[in-house]
Amino acid sequence: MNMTTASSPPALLKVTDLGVAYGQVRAVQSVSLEVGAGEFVAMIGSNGAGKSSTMKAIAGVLAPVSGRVEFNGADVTGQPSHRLVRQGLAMVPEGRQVFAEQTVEDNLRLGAFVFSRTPKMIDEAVDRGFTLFPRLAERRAQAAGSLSGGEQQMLAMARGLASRPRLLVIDELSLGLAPRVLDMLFPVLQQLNRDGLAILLVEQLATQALAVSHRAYVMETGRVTLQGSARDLAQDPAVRQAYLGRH
Amino acid sequence: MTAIVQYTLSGLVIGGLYAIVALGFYIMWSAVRAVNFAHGDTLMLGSVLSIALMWAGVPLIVGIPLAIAASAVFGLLIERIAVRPLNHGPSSVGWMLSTIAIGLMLEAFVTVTFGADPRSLPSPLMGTPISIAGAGIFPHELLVPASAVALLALLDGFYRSTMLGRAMRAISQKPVAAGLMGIDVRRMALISFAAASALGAFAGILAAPIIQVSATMGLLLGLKGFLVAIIAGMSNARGIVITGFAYGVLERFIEGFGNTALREVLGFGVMILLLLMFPNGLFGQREVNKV
Amino acid sequence: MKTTRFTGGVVLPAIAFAAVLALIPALVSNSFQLRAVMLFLVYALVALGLNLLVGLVSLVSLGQAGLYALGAYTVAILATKTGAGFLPAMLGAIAVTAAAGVALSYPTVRVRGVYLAVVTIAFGLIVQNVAIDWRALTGGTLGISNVPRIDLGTGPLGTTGLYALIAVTAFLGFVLHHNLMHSRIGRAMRAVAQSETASRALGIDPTRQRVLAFVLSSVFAGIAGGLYAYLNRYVNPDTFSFSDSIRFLLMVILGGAGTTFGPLIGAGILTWIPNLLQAFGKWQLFVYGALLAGVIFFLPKGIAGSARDLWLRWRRGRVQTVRQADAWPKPSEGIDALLGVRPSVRGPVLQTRDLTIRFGGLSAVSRVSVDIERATVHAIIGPNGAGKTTLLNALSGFYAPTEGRVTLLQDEVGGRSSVQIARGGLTRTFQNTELFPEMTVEENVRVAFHARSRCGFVSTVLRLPAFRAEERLQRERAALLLDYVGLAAYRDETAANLAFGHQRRLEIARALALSPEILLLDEPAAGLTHAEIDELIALIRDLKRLGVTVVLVEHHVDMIMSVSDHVTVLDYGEVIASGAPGTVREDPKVIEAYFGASASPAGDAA
Repeated sequence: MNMTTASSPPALLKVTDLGVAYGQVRAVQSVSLEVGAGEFVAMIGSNGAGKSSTMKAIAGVLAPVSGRVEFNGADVTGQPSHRLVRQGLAMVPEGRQVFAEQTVEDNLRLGAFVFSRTPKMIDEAVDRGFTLFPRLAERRAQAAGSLSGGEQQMLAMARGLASRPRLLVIDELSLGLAPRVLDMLFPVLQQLNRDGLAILLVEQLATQALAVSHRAYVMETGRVTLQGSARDLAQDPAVRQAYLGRH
Repeated sequence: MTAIVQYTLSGLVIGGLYAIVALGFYIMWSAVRAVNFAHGDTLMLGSVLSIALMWAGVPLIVGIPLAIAASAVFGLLIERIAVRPLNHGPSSVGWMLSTIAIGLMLEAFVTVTFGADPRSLPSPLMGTPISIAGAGIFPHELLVPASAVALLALLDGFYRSTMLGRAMRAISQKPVAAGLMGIDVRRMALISFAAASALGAFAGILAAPIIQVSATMGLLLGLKGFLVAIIAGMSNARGIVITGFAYGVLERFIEGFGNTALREVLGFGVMILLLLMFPNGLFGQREVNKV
Repeated sequence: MKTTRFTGGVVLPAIAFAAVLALIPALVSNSFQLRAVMLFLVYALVALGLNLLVGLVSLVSLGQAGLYALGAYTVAILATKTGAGFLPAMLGAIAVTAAAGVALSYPTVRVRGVYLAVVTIAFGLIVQNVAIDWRALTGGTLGISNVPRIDLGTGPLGTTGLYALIAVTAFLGFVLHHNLMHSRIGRAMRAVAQSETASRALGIDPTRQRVLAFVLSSVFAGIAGGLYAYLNRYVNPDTFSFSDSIRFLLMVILGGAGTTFGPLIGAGILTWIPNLLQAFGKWQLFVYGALLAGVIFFLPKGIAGSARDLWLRWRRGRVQTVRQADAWPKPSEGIDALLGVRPSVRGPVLQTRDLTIRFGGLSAVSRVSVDIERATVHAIIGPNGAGKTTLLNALSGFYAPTEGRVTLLQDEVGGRSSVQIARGGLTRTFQNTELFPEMTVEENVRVAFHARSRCGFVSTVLRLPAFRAEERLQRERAALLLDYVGLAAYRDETAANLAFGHQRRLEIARALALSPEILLLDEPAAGLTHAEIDELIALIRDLKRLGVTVVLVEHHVDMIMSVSDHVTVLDYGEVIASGAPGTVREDPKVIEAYFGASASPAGDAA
């Protein structure tokens, strides 16, 4: 444990000066952020600000070009996602990305792939998913591609939880979803968080994101421009003007 | 009448072979949306290795598994060297050319070392033909369609109810999401190519007592297997086996009433037409995906 | 500097090539060697044609030997069975292979990539087997012998005469190949290969380009086949196998697909290499396969392509220029003349009535009726997934309406293709910036002039004065547009190397090259900095001044409020409000759907 931060609990996720580029195009300049164990952190910002790229680099989908990612005290920079999942860092990707040709149940089983050697834990993971979202149980044998957008998001969340992560990164929960679906999903996230799951939520709907999270970061053109408690940011004039549609 | 039964029976034999080759393409395609285009040469490798091992005094019961294992390793190498570095999305064809090149090298290598003359593998089941409605067929020949159906059932079960099978299909649908589930996408790709190549070698060994084994036997078998797979629609194993049988029977009838060259002309002609009429395949469904 | 970088270095080598061709009869010592050179030229013709396909429209044919065979057999049959002379027989070969080219290009409408490759392989095998089987016509496996010598009316042509004929044909093929490649047709073909979507939005019909490329490449192979029949005076099926198709493709890739000299280099190497490979004895074929593998792994751009890259890198290393984008928009008289819209009709320029788009059973857009007035900025906003982009796709012809009408400049266009709509005066940009990544900045803009060009195929490949005048005019206009968006300094840069914000500017400049009456912008501000957004606002205002109607899909609230005249709000595919920005903003329905459900300060809800 680092002496200088001995007073505060060590962060579960610690990102320092992270940079991401696609070929010549730099998408993320330099981002630093932290998520504590059991904390609910939101990241807001407009389209193309680099939020998704940041999340992809954290979850090991992309290799960052600079900076450092620490998870659970270990340096995991550049590790591929399939290893990070085994260490407890899972992500629900943008656009849900369910395995469309496979059944709902198979999707959940795949979510528990890390337990391949212990079939019992896979069955448990499937049961937990169906308990969390009973709607999915009704559709268990249906191809995932035939689900509605909301149901697919539920499946993506349940699938992400199947590996029993300590931190769940969620990229654009609301994308293309109706408010009434969101009204159902946000409380589920809060409940999961109360049960001890740390959550890092990327969201364009700033109002809702700030309403459910403890702390938040605001990203703009590849950098974190503001950070603070969700309550403070919701009152911040600049944030209200840019993202909450209020003056 | 006897001729019709005969053509149908021998059509099912060659069609079963096409089906098994096509299933190999199906396994590779399901995993990485690319294939070893020289899969026909993998089949040739299986036949040739089993015969070469037999010549070297290795009993078949050891030689056959050895030949299959060696072909699986060949498949691993193909994926790692020729496919992965060149597979950039649905319209890239670099992997096609690189695997064709390796196929050419393999063909040339076998021609030099094994000799250009066709050979065959002995089988105890090639002794006396059995008679079905006046048509004659060797018991070993019946093994081919039977194997095709058995392999179909096996594959179906594998993809439906094992974690490995589910993962091997998931990686091509959503590679990023598959990685996020803890699936090592690259490892799965390797496994799929090894499995497909083992299957190809098995088909080669199965066919070795029936058809003439030579360095160049793979080209047409591979091409026809691939055509069968895409005509059926790459995502449907059952459709692939049915199409394989149908193509085999069609070929035998054309050949019976015409000749070998006509068989290729009409056979390929029909396949092209079918592909144009059903670009998603006869049994393929359009990708179900809502955004 | 006035000549483009491509035509730059080509004239001298072309003259050198012609000179070598002219000197060859004096240089080689016997007719055996001269025949080898002729064979090389015949192969070069096939490779040049195949390069149009592989290098320009990025389609791979593994059945080129089949087309080559069609040409050879047509000539052999016409010459031996009907006694046809050189010209009628060659015209026959051209007609047959052109027809085969059209037939082969049809599949590209539906399948591409490896599927198409398989179709071409099957085609090659069909041709070869027909040649084997149709004995009455083709002589079966024995083939056709005693093809007569060419007689152009001055008695049978000797070896030197035949050489002259083949050399002239090959040289003309080379010139045509080069002229086509570096013309608007070549650019359009490359554009189709790099982004089909963007090509359609610019009024370029991808199918037409692919058919043209296929037909040309087939005719090249057909002519080569015909010459081969006269050269060899004997044709049989063995010459036209699958491995010959692979060899033709290897010529193009080894030499450098998409380069002017690559096919010549590749054909040269692969004509002479069998002599080299003799040293390997029975391992010849193995070495040949290894060569193919080596080229694909280590020299994917081929000899000419890699050499060009090295040269460009060397030049860039020497000429270090610091380039900077200028502030934009930079209006000028030239731009006013180019982009200024002279109203063609009165009333709304774009109208929809009860427009509905369904995918499966789901309505993405339902019963949308909007009127978009001339020279206004009309914003379309709504939550993610509300159907904004779907609506944009329907307006620009990328989706056909399920129900309802779309009227563009008082012309009913519902169901018309994006190509037709782009030619009718409406074009667009894309959310994910669809540039032609491997073309230069200037070429990206010049592609967009394609639809308005008047020069036909003949005057293009012959570089007639009309063609040269048009090229000059278009270069000037491209310069104007690049100046307008402040990218003049980047003219020769490859588009993919531009910074994100500059790519946006280029995409807008390219759309403006069509001189559209209506421009659709799909989230143009996404990912831009505040300063860049201010410039974008200035651009939109300037376009409005020029009379261009701008339809804007955007999330950036500030921008919408400051720039638009009219705002339409979509939710669940339906219009929930439409009117002036101020009014829409206060609409309770809009606040609920778009600006956030809870009107209370966010923190309180937790």
